[in-house]
Amino acid sequence: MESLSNLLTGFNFLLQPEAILCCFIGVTIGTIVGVLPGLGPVAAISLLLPATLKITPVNAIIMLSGIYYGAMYGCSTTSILLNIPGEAASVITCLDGYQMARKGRAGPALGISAFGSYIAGTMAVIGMMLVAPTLAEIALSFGPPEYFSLILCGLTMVTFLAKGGMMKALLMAAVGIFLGCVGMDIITGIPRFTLDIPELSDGIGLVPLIMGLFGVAEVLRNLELSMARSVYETKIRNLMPTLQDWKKSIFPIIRGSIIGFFIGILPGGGGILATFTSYATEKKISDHPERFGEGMIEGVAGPESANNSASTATFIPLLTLGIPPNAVMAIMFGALIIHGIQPGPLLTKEHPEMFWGLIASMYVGNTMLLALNLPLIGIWVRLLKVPYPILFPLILVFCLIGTYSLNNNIMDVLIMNFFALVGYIMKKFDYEAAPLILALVLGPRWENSLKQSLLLQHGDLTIFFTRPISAAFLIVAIALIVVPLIPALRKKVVMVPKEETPS
Amino acid sequence: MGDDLIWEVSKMLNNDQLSSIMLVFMGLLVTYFSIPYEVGNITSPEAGFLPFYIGLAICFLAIGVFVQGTISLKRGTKWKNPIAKVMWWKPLIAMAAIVVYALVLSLFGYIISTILLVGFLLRAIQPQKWGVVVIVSIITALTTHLVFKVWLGTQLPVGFLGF
Repeated sequence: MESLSNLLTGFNFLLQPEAILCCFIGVTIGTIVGVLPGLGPVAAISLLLPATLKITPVNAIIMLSGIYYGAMYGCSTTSILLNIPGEAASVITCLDGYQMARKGRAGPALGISAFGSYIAGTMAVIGMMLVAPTLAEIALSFGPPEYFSLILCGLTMVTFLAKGGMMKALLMAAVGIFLGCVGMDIITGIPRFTLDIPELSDGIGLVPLIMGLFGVAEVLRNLELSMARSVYETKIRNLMPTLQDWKKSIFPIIRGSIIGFFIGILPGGGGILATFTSYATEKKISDHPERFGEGMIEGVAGPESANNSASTATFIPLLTLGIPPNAVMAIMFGALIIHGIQPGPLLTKEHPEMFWGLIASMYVGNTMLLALNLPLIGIWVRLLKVPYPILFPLILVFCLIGTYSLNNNIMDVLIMNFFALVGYIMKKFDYEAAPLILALVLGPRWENSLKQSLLLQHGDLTIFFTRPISAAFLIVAIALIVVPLIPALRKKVVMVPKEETPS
Repeated sequence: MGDDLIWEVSKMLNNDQLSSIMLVFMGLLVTYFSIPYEVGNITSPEAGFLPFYIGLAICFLAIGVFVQGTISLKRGTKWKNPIAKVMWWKPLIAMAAIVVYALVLSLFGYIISTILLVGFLLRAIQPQKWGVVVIVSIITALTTHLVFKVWLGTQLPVGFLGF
């Protein structure tokens, strides 16, 4: 009952024209970002972050969130029409979506994808509304040892699901924690590893780093490959799925929504894992598993629903525990901090308008996306026909402005260039950027929790094991490291889908 | 001489081994340069405490990746040239262009620098017709200027010409 009353407060806030406009701008940009391969939600959110400094924090977060779930909606279009996933999370949609398009059923594929996403998004918002406040209440009892163990557990889980191997991902997380150490030490006030560059005394900026590692590095990677791509030429008609399509799709949508929600809450469990799990589930329970990959509508409905449900659920650990579970949420974490809001268990109490306004905006945003994705599909298809050689300079200019405008500082642009080169080399050697970003964001808090715990207990390390919640997180973290070492389990672990590197 | 040495080394190591050696060095540097900040101890951790141990962790994890690389080398995973069969010069040109852009931005101002950058990228990476180059670069510079500077109030460098 209390949730409903809070939700009404959220809707009341959202009825302001400025909030609605921010939501609309967010989901529209998100759809464009999702449709266009080469510019992902991480880069887009980083890019628009400086622009949001002019509006209220709540509206800013509504807009930036809209970009994220809008991108998750839009990315299915390229998967279905081009066989190129707009985002890593829609890789699996290519399998059956593109085959449906080749058989002249692009319309129902796009339609069920949009409807499935809408239903899943809405279900996930309801789940979030019910779960988040309870989780925030529990998190209020967390002290430094619990946060230390929770962050360790989160980082381990992210590395467990990373591609390129767990050892490499752990290595990247360690590098990220080191990069998080750059700047003033919070407890002693001593500047560390700043190389006498004044701009580094506050630490390495999240936006230049993310723009470099995800935005520019991705462009550089695309440039060295062939730039030819063709849209599958087909008339898109009958966007409304038939009754038969609905019969086949409704349960995959519901199952996908539930799978996506629970995977989305896990650290590292973003869209990709949810879509792969949903696809595997549908294939397993289908009477015709052999037909998957040949244009089965269930193979589109389930994963697309799971993707959208997961993308909404990823907000839960961020807003209730203050722990971003993936790279997109890491930049959202940065956005909240820049706007003077500390994500965590107190957020629902201290900034109820933020939390409930965001939830209300998700309801409205999902409806806007349905309206944007179906009737305007022709515009998105036309957008796909913009040649990449013309598109990439624009992406670079956006990254450059986005980075520069945050502090009006050329040094940020140079830092972005440096990390673009680092990101490009990392991709060449199969090192993933997501664990590095998460560790960079969580590193300072992790260090603080560690130091506070040690100082409070005079160096007694047993504090991490004697407090039950902390011990539970540590056991999970240790299990995640040990499981891949057990030969019998290793084979199964290898088969776990790899987590996304949103560009 | 240098190329020969790289070639010989690359025949002995694979990509994981080479990258992990670099990261071991990075870990050692982090550990070494943490010491001046004072490491402290477990009862009284100082500013260098976490970087020192993280540096060591980087070293150990990189050694782990090296061992994995060695195992995969024995199984036949050899050195794979990361820039073979790709047009590596294109990212190099783009990278150089954005570095130069950052350096001349304050001098020439946003509009001129952006026109030059976009025009250069459109011609140098996959040459477009001059008409397309001129139109796209001017429209990009003016539109982004309008959106970011005029509408969003972002401060963009004006340069010696005053715009």
